[in-house]
Amino acid sequence: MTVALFVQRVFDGLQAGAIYAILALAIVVIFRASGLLNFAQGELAMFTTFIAWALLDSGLPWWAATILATVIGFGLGAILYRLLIVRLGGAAANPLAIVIVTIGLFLMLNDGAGIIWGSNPAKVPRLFGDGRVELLGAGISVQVLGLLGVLAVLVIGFGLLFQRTKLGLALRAVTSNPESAALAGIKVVTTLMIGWGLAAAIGSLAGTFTASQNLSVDTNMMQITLIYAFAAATLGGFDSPLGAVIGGLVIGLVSELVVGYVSIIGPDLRLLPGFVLVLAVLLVRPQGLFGSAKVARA
Amino acid sequence: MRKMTTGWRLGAVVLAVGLIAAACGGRDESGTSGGDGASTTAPAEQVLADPADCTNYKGTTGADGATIKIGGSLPQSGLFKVFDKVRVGMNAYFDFANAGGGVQGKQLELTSLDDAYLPERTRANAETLTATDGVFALLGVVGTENNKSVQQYFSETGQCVPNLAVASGFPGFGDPAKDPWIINGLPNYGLESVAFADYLKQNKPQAKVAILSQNDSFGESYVTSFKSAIEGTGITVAAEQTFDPRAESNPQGQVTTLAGSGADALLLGVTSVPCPNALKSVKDSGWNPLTYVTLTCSSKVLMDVAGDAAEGTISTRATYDPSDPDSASQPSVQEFKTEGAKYGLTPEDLNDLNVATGWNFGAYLTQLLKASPELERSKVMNTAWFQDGVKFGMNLDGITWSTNGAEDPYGYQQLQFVTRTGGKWVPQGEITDYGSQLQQQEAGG
Repeated sequence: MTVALFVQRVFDGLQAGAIYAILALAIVVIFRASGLLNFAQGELAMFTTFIAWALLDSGLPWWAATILATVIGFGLGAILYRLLIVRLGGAAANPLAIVIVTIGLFLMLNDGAGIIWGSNPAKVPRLFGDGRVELLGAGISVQVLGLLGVLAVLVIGFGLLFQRTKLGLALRAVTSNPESAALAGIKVVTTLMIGWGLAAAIGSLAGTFTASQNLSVDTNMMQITLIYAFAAATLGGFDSPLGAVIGGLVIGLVSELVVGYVSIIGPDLRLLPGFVLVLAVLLVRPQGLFGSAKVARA
Repeated sequence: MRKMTTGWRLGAVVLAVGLIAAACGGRDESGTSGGDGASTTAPAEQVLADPADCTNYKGTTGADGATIKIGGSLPQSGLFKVFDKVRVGMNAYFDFANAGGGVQGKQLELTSLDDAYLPERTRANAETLTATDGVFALLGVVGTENNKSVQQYFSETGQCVPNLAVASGFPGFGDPAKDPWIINGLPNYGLESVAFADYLKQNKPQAKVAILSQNDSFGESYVTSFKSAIEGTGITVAAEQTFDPRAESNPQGQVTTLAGSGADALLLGVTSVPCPNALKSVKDSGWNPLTYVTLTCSSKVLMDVAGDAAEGTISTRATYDPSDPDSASQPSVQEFKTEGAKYGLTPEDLNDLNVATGWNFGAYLTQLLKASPELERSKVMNTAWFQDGVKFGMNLDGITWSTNGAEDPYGYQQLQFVTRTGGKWVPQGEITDYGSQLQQQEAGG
């Protein structure tokens, strides 16, 4: 019984953590591409999840709606970058203004979704079905295993993208030094559009998985997840995709296990353990677990 | 929306002052009986709603024109949007009642505002509804905390406005000695808990019960009454978990902890989307307790979301569920279906328990206003506290609405158990009166 309970809690934690990890990945991709924090990342994910729900409602199967919403998310991210961020002079010229713009986007998307769709208890199916498997006496839903699989694919995919492809090289070059990158023939705006598009597409997956898990789509669904995702990125290091993912999983696990086993920290203090952990790690490693330390010339 | 002109306002004040004088002078009058078999006998010493207690009393505002203005506030957006269907049902009933001549020749008019289930917005809505729209009474305001904030607003401003058939079974709203201006429209949550405890005594006398509840007064009402109802029995509470319904819509970790407690029964003091979510988590974990879901969770929308995970759960009812084909032959259900369709309810609405609840609230209000000796706020409230054996709306055949002042302020006394079988609720056993058990509990505690 106690082993089963432990296993169950581990998977509860991994399930929550995997969603934090996916959204943290989106945050890290934008940070790497443009050196910015996109506060609207969670709301973008929420917005595309509503699109997925609308597609489902119009008769599309859920898997098709998920894929289509991811593609639409890519377009939305790219357009937002092209229409808003570029016009403000780009990240390098005006970083604070752009951070404020992302906060504005946060509010706009939140209200926009509310006006268009309201909020719906949604009979959203699970992408990987309702099946469950027994593991050491605990019941693990196939959905969680599928979610962890998707996460693994994303991590490997992004690792390869950044390290092994010309696009990845271009993304890194543009962040490191936009001017030199442009001089070397890299189309900076196009490259960054792709970066923002990719981030929104990944975020969209975090949203649809949350909807499947919560059985509802509502305008506030990603807000607490965003806080956790920021914590995950901070823990893992803002410029490390692998760090973001590990950070997300660790925060999910720690929250679930501490709340479950430490009786004085009840479910009402669910946010606490993860953030104490982040604080402790930052005291020792300010750049996060996998982040690269800033080297300043003396 | 028409705004009151200053002159109109002045007129209302003058009229109200006159009426207060009349009401105070006429306190030894006893009420007269009204329609639908309701008898209202409120002896002078049992007048509970007293205008003298209100510094800013206007007795007939909203009912002295050609219409009777009624206000509502409920979530039309946000996670609790399912309850917006209550408004749809009330609207349809008002149209139905108006087509039949309204009340005392006046048409009913509903103005309903969105509060997204946020108490501070409900409070602001109450202010708009009374100060700007000048409604006579509120009807079917959804949510325990929301209604608390409304009463807080009324008490701060010295207003006494009837807040009728609130969509909450919070026991605190059934205390006319403290606040005679608000009355429950749903069965007292405590009544449900007493019923579940009684069910366990009959069917599982050694039950080890796990409790998952919202950390608000909705959840607490179930937990407190249940614990008190199992005192001195073989039933024990094996584990308890709470969650914040505004921050978490999926209390999965809590379900895991409860499943680990070895409990064989589960009380879900939960409503809206977290309720089907909890049922899904229970099913995923492979735990198979005898589960009670609240009456507010038993609606078709939420049960559809839960799907298979709801099979075998039990709940209670006081009214017919129009989505249940077995009750389709009931005259009150037939009236709802034919008249509701005539007044704009879609086929989906006609199968929605929340729409039905709104329809019942409309029916309750109409019979109450008809039974009241006049369309005056305190008279309406004092009528509401003393109604005996009233039938209205789609209340189950065999369930009547009776109140008896502070002694017995809850209209619903009886409940019928239902079990989720094959995707619908199937009645189980007889309609049972749990009212006296609840009263003993309240007297004892």
